[in-house]
Amino acid sequence: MSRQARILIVDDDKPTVMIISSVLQKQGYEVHTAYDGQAGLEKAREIKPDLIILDIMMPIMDGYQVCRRLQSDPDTARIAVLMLTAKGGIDEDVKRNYEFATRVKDRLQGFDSGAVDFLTKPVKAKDVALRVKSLLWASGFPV
Amino acid sequence: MALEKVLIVEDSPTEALLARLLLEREGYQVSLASDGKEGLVKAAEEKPDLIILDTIMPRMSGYEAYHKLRVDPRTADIPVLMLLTDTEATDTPHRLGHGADTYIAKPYAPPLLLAGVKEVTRTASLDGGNHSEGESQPAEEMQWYREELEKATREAEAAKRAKSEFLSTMSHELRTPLYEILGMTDLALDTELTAEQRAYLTTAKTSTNALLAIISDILEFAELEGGQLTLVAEDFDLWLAVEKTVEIMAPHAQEKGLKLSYHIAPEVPKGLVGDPVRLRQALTNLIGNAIRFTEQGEVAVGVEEVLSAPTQKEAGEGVKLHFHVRDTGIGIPADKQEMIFETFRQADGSTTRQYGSIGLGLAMAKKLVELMDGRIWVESEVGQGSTFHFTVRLGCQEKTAQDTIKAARPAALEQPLQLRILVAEDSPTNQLIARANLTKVGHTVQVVENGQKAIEAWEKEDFDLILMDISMPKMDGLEATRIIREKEKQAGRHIPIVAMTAFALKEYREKSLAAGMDAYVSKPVSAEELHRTIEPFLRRADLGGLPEPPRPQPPVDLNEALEVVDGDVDLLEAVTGVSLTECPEHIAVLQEALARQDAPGVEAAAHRLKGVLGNIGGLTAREVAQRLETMGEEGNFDGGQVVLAELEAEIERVAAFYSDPGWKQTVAES
Repeated sequence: MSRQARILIVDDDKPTVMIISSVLQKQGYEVHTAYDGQAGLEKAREIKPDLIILDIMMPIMDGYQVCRRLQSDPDTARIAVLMLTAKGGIDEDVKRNYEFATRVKDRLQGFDSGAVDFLTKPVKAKDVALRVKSLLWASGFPV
Repeated sequence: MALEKVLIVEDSPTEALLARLLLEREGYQVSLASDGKEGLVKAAEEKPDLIILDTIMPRMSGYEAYHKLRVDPRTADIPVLMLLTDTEATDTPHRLGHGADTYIAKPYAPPLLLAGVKEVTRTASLDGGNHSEGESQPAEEMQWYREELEKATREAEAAKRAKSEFLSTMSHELRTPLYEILGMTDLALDTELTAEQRAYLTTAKTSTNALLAIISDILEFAELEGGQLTLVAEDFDLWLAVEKTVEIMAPHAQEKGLKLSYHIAPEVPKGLVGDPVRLRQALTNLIGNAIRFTEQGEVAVGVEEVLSAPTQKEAGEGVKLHFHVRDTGIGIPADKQEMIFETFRQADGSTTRQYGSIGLGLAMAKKLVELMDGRIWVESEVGQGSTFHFTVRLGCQEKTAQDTIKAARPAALEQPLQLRILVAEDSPTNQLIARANLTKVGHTVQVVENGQKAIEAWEKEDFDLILMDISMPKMDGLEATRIIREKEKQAGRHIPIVAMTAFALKEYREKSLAAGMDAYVSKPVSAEELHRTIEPFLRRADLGGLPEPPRPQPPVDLNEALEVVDGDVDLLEAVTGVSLTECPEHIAVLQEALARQDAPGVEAAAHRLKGVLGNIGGLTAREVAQRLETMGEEGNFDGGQVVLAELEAEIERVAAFYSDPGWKQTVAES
């Protein structure tokens, strides 16, 4: 078995970061954190995580922007992204997220790079673990 | 079948694309749908050989989609493979019922999905080609289904119209002879009769009246149903309207030995614009219903104003009032609570027999309330009684609206929970009882023995409420109240005064209200009744607003919170600590943004709080934060301060919950 997957959590909401990192550490992943979009982007370039958990609504640079920048940089384009959404109108968002994710993937032509998925807040430990697992698998990481 | 078409219905893009990739590699032709509705449409259009269906999706769950697929002749024979979460996997075969094809649990290993797909398609083709029949369903047959459906819809609508017309005509026809019967009975009752004859005729009259009431209901209802009813907008005295309604219903309550009381919160304006007849009708129906289903105890009517920002009033939006009718009757089981407001389901079939005449009364109240831009709901527990609530929006008469805002609003928000109560009462026994009852629940009580002393005490000290006996030596309660109200005019204040009357006589009630009292209780005052009467004054203190959808009891949904951390109590404790420490900071930001009317600022801060609270199971608080977020989003801050106060109170409740180490005990025990 190769090394454990490295995961970066980017969210300005500290308690959420606490929960997710604790859950993922328990699963044996290597976990890193950042508390705003800019810092997250820098950290991603530095540590090259296998997966980024990214909050959508953050001040200064929101999750969509971070995601787009990640995808446009060849160094980070292959990182799988799990986006966290907490907006009220869940229906609308699912639709929009779905389109966003499909568009990203259509452009990148293929599953082996840059899988994107979404999870609605408040996130539950089991859901996070499950999504992270399938995302890692989808981006070619041995699970 | 060499190449097979598969439709994947799945809301998670990754899961969907993952499955697509797997299946395409195996040579299947795959299409995707992101939710149940889209899935149904695509299934009917594309006629896939197999549908892979996720269970948990927004809008329409996989289970619902599954059953819809089975009902539609175009898709009824397409095999379905359900994707379940591991917890669902145990009970799902039952939920699918017969005709279940197969299911696999998520997360699945790729070979499992392929095996499942192969198995389902094989079984389907062994079934004697059911499925290919579905595919080649003749177009004529489809056309036939469509026409049948349209025909049925047309017929149903025509029948409904005919029913309304019939009811309307019938009611008119029935009422004429009934009025004659009533008139003749009245005439006969005016003649000289033996006691026995009088009793017979009185019974006949009562029954006729009851019958007339039912027929009036039916007529009204038919008008409502037919959309013929329009509301008038006229100036009226709301207090008087409520009072008269209660008065008319009082004899019915008395007949059954029930107590019927009402209380109008002092901030409720008197002069309003609306349709008093229809408002009274809605209220009458609810009171009548409460009396009918209560064998002992009482029926209590209350009216409060739903606080909204003053700007809203100035904009001519009027006031929103909250009416509630509480009874100590048999209660309504939870599964019937929605149904009782429904219309024709009650007006025909077995429910009529089950619920008697309430079907129409409540359905009508609902229609009326909705016409008045309000809503109606019920809180009830079997054996504990019911409380029916409704809200209506009414117009303000120019000047009174302004007065009310000034007089009532600030006082209402600042009132402490434990009240300082002045009791004016001359009987030493009653003094003792009142003092004991009030101090027991934490109020501070001062007792005086006449009206004169009550005024002196009121001038010297600060009280939240006065309980005033009507008949006292030297100066009675009415006189004292009039003087206090007169003096208050200069100061622009309003202290709630509750009358204590020895006789529940109509004229006493009228007199006490005319003198400026806010409510009354009849003596001897029971502890329970006393608390109930002053409860609205207490409630306004900690609420600030109206509990419009009934407030869920506990501040924290512990199960939800535990799910977030997957049952890790220590983690939850740590998260809670951080979250609650953060709250005041976010509140301060929110407050400031609200003061600046900074829409994005309000939205962002409320959003933060929502996230923080959602993590720790503070679902009610989260909902309140959501309301503020929406306000920010829409840039409409009406009532923002009130909601903010509510949010702070809710956070307080959450904090209180977690500060008691008992919650961990609860977890350990469960």
